[in-house]
Amino acid sequence: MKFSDFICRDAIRANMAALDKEGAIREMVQSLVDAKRVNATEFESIVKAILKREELGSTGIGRGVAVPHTKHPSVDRLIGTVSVSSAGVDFASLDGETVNLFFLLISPPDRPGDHLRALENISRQLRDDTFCRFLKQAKAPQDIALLLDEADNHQFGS
Amino acid sequence: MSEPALKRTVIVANREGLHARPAVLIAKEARKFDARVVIAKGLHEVEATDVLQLMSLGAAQGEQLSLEGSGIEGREAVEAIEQLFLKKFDED
Repeated sequence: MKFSDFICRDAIRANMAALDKEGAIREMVQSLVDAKRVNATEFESIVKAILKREELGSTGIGRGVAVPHTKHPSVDRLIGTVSVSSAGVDFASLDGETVNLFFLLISPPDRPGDHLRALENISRQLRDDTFCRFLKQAKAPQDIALLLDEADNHQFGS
Repeated sequence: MSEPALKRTVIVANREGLHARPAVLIAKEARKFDARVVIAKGLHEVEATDVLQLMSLGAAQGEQLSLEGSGIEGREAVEAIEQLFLKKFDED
């Protein structure tokens, strides 16, 4: 699976304003609403579901990366977005570090395989330190989109 | 001198496979021991302490993985991680 298969380009954000977990999640889901990939009426329900998932254990997986996610019946296929925070967000990560790089995923309830393949793709690509560093340093959504395209084309780390 | 390596084979039994939550559980468990545990899917080998590496296996339900422990607590570490797989990470 490639980033282009699930990342909504219009929802990519380079300057996350939020400094806490809930704010970060709200901002990312809002970006999917703004990009018309998620219905505005589903906003609160999706945010709540993602926060509930975080209560089971933070998706801050270390190295400044988090993958907040949920299943939600309002989507008919896996969708996701990327946000970068230059300030860093306290996400209760495994390694205690703040998070600069977020991949948020929403998948239909009956498609666990797609979610797993998206995580596989994200984690394989992020093993490339250069790719990971460039993403965290990105200043504009276009820069992030370009980096994701490059990763798709070269398949770093796979 | 380190203890001899211990190898075990496990099956991913939970429906959703080795997604973020199981990966975090494995990494947390692996970090409790003075040991190195390598988890492999075929030729793809990763460190059990690293969530990102674990997720990169993309291990789905029904897939077979091997666990190999080394170091002073290698055996205990492998057995503890094997238990997580056996109880399906408390999912399903």
